[in-house]
Amino acid sequence: MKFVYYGTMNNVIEMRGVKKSFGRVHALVGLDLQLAQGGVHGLLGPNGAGKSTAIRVLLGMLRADAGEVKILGVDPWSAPAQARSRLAYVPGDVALWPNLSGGETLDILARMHGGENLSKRKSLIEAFELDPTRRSRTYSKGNRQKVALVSAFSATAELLILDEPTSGLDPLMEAVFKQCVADARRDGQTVLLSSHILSEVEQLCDRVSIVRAGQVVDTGSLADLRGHAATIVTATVTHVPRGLEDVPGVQRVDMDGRHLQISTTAVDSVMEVLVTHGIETLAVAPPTLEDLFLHYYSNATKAVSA
Amino acid sequence: MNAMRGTRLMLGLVLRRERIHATAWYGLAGLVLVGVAAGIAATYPTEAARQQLAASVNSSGQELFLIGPIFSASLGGIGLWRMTGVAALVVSLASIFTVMRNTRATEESGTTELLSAARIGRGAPLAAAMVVAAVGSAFCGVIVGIGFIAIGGSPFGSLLAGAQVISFGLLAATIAALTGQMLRTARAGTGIAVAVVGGFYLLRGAADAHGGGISWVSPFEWIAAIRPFAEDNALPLLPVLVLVTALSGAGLFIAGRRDFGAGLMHDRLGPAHASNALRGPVTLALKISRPTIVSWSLGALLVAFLIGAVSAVVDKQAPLKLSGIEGGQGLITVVLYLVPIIAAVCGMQTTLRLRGEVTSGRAEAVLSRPVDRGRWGFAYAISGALAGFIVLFTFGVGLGLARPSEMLTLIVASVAKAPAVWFFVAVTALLLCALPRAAGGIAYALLAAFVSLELLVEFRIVPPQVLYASPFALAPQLPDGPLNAQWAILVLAGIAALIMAASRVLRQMDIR
Repeated sequence: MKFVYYGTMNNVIEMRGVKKSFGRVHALVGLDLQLAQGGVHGLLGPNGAGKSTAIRVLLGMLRADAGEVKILGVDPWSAPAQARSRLAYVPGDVALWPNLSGGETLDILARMHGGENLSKRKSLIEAFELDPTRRSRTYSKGNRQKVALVSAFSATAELLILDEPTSGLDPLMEAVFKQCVADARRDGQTVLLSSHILSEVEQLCDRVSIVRAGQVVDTGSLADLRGHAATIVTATVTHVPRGLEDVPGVQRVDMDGRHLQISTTAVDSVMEVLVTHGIETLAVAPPTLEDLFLHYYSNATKAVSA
Repeated sequence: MNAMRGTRLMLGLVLRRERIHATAWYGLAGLVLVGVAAGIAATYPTEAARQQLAASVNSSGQELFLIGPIFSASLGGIGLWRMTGVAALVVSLASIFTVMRNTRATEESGTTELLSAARIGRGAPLAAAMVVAAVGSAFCGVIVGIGFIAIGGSPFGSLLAGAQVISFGLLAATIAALTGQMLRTARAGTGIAVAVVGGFYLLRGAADAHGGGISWVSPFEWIAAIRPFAEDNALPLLPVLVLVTALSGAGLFIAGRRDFGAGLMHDRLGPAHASNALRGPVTLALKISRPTIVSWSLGALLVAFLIGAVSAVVDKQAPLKLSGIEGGQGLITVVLYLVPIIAAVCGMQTTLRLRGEVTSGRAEAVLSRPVDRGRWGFAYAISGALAGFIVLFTFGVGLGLARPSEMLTLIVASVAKAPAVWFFVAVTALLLCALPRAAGGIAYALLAAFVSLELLVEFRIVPPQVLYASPFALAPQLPDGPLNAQWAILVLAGIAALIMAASRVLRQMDIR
């Protein structure tokens, strides 16, 4: 029964024009998000952009005010609970029952889920160095996070939804987490990874959606998105060119004598100009995810609370 | 002293946090107490009527057990008598909640940790919380003192009545100070503190019911020994003050020495696997609520046994009849009328844990899995209904242990009150769906409103027929009163309607 979808759409997640307001706070204002099957999809955005609200709508905890929501082919709000047996979720802020041990918590969560790979769970407990006999009350934030991660990665699921899953993990455990995500991708699971840690997204994600103020402002592969942000061309030329600002794609030109710094989305056209002016030194820096992030957020409208 | 450094800073913070909360608790408590006293004073305006009341109360073992004797038949004297029981309860709760909210509760939530890096001594949060509780108690005492003068009590007697109220508040605050330091969770600390106060109250009741002077076993007897409007003796305030000082000293001593987050006992390791019984949201809720259910039941068993033991002596004396209720006579009947109120509080408290599941984020862990929303949403209501039932049952068993020949009758009579308890559990469940944020406050306010119907009837402000609106009055009044079968069925039908409404709302609500 794995990988069989209800309905006709093949997307694992399908959100179109989703709106959600809490009183006067507009958390989602027409959010569009599509995830094809397989791969790791990043949901990137600052605190309060609406990432967690979108995820709670996907889980059927919140009802969208408007728009279309499908997860694994079904509407999460009206679908029977059984539909959720095909996904696993790690919340951003893991809270556990204080007087239950970690092992008890994993057991009850697995029984509620209805399907678990026991040997995988055992190896995950070892990899994350989790002591399942300790009561949740005595767990640190990172240890609570590990319980949620072990529970999600050992569950039989087609879709993993991870909401800022590495907050509280130390670098060693972060490496274990990254390995888990890589394994999940290899096994054909689809992963939605919400994060504001750029390096994590850059390393793990095939595609990224950037969320700002309750909307997805851009989506695509990292290469696609890079194309939308400016590459920095730094050069020293023998003759100073004129009219560089008017070359299509050029966003900004800084000149200091014969030293130039050009921000452009069209490196080719800039090169054509520079070549005819005698290039002495040349450096081309592709935009980092950070540049990309700043590109979308530098003139961000006021953020809304998640 | 190093541990006390920053107490003044902490005091500013606690005062800011408690600006509305504590003011409302202590202020309303004071007003309620004055209202209760004024009510009875207005009901018995003549000296002759009051003398008659005093004579009947002082010869009634039930009244002596539940409230205590009337020492003076003056306006102030009977007002004081009627108010004392409520005062001991309400002011004590106000102090326990205030101290716990600002000590162990903030330690659990982590806000204390935020401050521990600042120049705040380990004892400072406790010291600040106790100061606020003391100021609140004093505020309540002043309202009561002024109120009694207004009712017509002597100024010195009124002053001492206020001092009694302050004593209840201080005593409870210092008990909570100690239990809050000794136990790891605010819930457990509050529970034990309430149990200790309840124990003091019952010991005082037992001593009064047996008659023959003061046994000095319970500090509540010391407070009663002041006897305002009769002997006006301020001396018993001294031992109260000594006890308060000793308890707060012990609390501060522990606070200055223990580890952050620690209690007297360390956490033991738990099992690496859950028992097979733990399968879904309902069994999980039952497991989570088990310690609460067990401690409430043990309390019910003990209290019932004590009351049962006293009742043998008491029932030889003049009978007590509840106004407006057809329920027969005797102390047992009176407590059987009161016990569903206690069981309802236990059931409602358990039901309200659902809100904590949502605010803590634990709800996400359950609802992201293929769990039916209804099963999750009613898991704690089911636990609450069961908790209330078990409290009623163990209470019946406790009474029966003291009077073995009537064991079965007493258990049935106690358990028969279950519909009244379930009604309030169902109301709470509906409120949790319809108005989740305000559910706790509204639910307890509703319970208080139904309980105070009794007082309104007692003071003849409303006719006794109004009690037909109260599930407590509609429940079977066994063993001596009517079975009220048709009314009990009506209450059960009401419960079914509430649950249906709740499940409708539950399916439409955002979980947040």
